[in-house]
Amino acid sequence: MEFWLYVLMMYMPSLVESARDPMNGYLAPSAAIRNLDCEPISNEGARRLDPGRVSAPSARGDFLNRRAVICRERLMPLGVRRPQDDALLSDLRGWSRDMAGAVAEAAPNAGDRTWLVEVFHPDATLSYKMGFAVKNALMDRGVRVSDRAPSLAAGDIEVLGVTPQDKAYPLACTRYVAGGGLGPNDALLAVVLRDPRATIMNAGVCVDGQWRWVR
Amino acid sequence: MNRRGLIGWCLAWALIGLPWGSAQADERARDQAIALEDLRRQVAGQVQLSAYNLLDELVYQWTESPPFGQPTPVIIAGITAPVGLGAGFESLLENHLSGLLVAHPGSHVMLSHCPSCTAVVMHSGPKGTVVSRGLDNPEALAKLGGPGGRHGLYLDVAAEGPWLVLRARITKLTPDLPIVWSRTMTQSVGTPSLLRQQTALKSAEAARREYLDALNDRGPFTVPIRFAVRAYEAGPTTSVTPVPLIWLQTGFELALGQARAWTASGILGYAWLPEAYDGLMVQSRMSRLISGNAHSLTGPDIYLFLGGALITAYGTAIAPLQDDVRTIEQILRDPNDADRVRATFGAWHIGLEYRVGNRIGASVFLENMPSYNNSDTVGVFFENEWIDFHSLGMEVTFCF
Repeated sequence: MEFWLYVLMMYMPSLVESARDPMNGYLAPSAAIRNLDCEPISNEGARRLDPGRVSAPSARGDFLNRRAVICRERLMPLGVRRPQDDALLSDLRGWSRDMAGAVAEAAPNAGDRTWLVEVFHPDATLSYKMGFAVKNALMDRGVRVSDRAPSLAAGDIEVLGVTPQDKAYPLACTRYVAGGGLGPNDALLAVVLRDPRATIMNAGVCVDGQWRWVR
Repeated sequence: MNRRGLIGWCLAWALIGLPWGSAQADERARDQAIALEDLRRQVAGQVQLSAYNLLDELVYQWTESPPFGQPTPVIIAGITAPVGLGAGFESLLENHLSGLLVAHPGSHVMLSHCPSCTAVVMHSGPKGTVVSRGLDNPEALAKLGGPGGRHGLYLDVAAEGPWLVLRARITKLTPDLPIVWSRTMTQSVGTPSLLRQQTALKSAEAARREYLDALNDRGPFTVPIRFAVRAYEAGPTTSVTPVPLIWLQTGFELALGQARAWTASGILGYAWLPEAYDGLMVQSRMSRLISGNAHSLTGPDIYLFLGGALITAYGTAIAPLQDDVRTIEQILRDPNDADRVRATFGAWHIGLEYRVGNRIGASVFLENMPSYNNSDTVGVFFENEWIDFHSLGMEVTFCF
């Protein structure tokens, strides 16, 4: 009996801490936890954000392994938007920035060209938002961006409609350049939902009539 | 019942129950739609101030660093709200932005009206027929006699996890539609809005300084003017209840910190009731805020206080408070000598004060008067084993 009491006393503090940790979700209702957006943060950062709650470590060492997690409530509770839209929009800033970085590095002479952005997603509202974010991310990298949309002839669109996806984008790229939709100093960044079930967007660039997937 | 009969019986019940089940499903779907709409309305209410804050910051940045060298006509080409919120939210944002731009000509962003820019136009040329908004087809716009050299402002507000994100871009309305300016700004959901005044935008630092000034607006010293009533209970051997003393008090109150969590006060008081009594008092008090860590700018505060007073009162109505009870012969011999009917005593009190905006307050307290602990003429409120409260007081305070 004493042995088990000893074990309980040894592990009780860490058990209590684990129960209070919102990332574990032992105590709080799951719906509330799911609407939190939590990320680990350094102890120094946590102390700067909330000095009253996170104390400074003792100068002699406090023999504790401290871990700080910052949790913020989501603006849009789960269920208000379609789960797939939510997955795309929740980190729009992050992935559009990454995409702009990948494009600027992958495309030759990216800084000397004017970039056009097209989003291929079935939802027009989402397409608009994603295009907006990617254009701003490209501008933040110092790249010239235009709001112009490259156009294709009606016959091109008819042919592309029956072409398999892996061939359609390279073909469209060729037709953009041939039809004058993309000039010699223009480049196109296409943000594409390749699978209707996917929650990530792919990116391809069309430069000098050459198509290339970059993400 | 044979098998065929059983199947028929089940089918009949299913056909009867089908419309009822369908109606229930419709009702459930309608309830869910109402709940979702309600949730969206709540979210819109929560993020509205944050979105305004981001627009304020955008226009403030323009006033500090204008996107154009001189006032330039700009058309609001599009404002979009977070996915899930409706067009009403977009209208609110557009109205707020318009108000800000009109109030800040220093931003050099001059709002312009262009009906043909937002209208759907159809343009047929050698390359084909294009149907689009005027803004998206500057060639068609030029042929319609639309604006030359104007700019379109696009705004997008997005809810990304716990962040509200405002994206803005300005596009020059020429055939190439080049984006000439863009900015992305974010605000965390927990960040309080600065609530900047629309007509005179300030930086976040200046707004915070103003906020702190508002906290400290009245300095540590306050002058309270207080109306107080002290009521007494009749003693055990008499049925004569001492007359309540009505006081007008003033003095100073000192906040011991910017949070006004602790305050100290020194008060002088005067009591007067014609033909009944006159009184003077000096009182000091320490108060501790118990409704929070710092006094609230928007809500009421509750203080717990402890204090002491020295009171002297004289007049015919003070007789029940006198230590030495005058005999009938003394009163008959010298009935007009009210000064001789005098009571002087010390007291300490404990109570609660409810104060709003540090300007008006109401309090209630209980007072112990040690010299009356075994008095026959003054009784006690709330009898208990530990302490005698001889007086029950109520106050209304106005602070200046």
